Amino acid sequence: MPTASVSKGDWPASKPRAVRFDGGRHDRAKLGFVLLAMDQTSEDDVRGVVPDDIGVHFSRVTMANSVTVETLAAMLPHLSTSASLIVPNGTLDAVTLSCTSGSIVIGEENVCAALAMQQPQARTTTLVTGVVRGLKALGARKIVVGTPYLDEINRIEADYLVEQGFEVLDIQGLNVEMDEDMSRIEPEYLRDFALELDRADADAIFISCSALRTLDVIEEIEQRAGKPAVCSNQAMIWDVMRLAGIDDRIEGYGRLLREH
Amino acid sequence: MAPDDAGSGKLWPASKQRSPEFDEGRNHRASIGFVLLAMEQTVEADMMRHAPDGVGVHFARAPMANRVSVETLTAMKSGIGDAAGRILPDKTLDVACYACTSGSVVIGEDNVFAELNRGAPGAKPTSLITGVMRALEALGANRIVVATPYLDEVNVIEADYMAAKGFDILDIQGLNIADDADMVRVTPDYLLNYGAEVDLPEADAIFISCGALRSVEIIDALEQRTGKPVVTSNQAMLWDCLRRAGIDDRLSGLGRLFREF
Repeated sequence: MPTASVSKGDWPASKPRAVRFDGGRHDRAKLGFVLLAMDQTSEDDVRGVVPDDIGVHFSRVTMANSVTVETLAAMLPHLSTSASLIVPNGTLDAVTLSCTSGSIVIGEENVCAALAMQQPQARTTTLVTGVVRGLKALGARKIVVGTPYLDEINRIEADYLVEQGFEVLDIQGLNVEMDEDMSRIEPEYLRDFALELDRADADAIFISCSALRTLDVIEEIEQRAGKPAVCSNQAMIWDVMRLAGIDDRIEGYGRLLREH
Repeated sequence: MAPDDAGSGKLWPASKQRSPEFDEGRNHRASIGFVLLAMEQTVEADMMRHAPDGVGVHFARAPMANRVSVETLTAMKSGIGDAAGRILPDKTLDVACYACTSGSVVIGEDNVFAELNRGAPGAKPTSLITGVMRALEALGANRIVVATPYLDEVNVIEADYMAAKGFDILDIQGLNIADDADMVRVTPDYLLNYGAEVDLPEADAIFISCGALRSVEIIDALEQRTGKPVVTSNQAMLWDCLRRAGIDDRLSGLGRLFREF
């Protein structure tokens, strides 16, 4: 029936009201994450771990579907635009690129410069920066690394970790090229993969890649291996929270978030 | 095994052949993509908290000025398809949704759907206002009162749009807030009282408009206080996206809509 009672545009002006405001749902901090277009894992991992009174906000960056050195490097020109779309009013406390291999291939300084371009107030970091900080916080120097990547990416990652002062005892990849496949690898397989790579002389195990569901089994890997285990999304969450000044200790995701 | 010439990249062993075990993935029931306004701060938490396990909810952002006016909303249009194209381009989303009530009204559903189809071909397109109207229809509500945070220039367009779709808008009231950053700070308690105040005896339902408001937190309380169904933007959007994706779960804590339809 509807419109008989009112002619188009003939609506009353709103009454003046004294609206009540508070600091908002996320008054402790706001964190930004630039994701690869194909990412299916980071959003859930981040929201599942970060306390509810901290905002976690996501943007996506154009990226080819296959993960190679070439496609990762091609992301750089799109990073600053993507970061600029995350709550662009100068209130974001920290922002990161949620891609381990991409941060290495593009380079941490380049990534951080791109993220900072439109978010100058935010602390900037990258996923692999968080991993390196996490491993160092845990006192790990000799490490074994498990990845889903092609060997062309593993070599770059191993070289990078050596440059950062780690002794990489072994690095093994699963030769998976598509992000969609990475996100479908069973967490139990990842647990067994991590334990198989572990060596007696390793200080810590690092499972690389934000697409993997390693967060679901990171605590179990630590308990079974009897040593610290770091995975990409765990280290990213820890790093971004700490950069934003959030010092909460969180249970259930390994020693890094519980003790450091 | 550490290379003695770090940086050469030549001394690392090839990975052993392995056969990873795959499953259907964390999002095996459905994948839904949401195109957000750049300033959006409420939708992500609302969707991730309430979407059932097995349903992936994924987000991309479209450029939009911080101030919410007819002009800035109109200017968003071409960014919608681009943003949709950045959400899981390697698979077909079940549903792609433009997560802005006033934006979908100002731009128009048909235009929004064309943009979503351009970016996410194969996904069922929907928009926030589409979900709201489907929700009101499911609840059998024709005479409604509308409470918004918007400027009146946006309210007028929203009321006209819904009236043209067959709803009898008994009243529409706005809070005259232009910035998204202020909308997200309106307290849920205030929204509860605001919704109750705008209600009229002859209204079939109360609609609280805008994805930025924390109205999802007070749906049950407002329904209990007024004795009639309450539709809010993010509740209706999630319900619509889930039902479009073939997910028929009844959820509690989100009003009659999710419990019964």
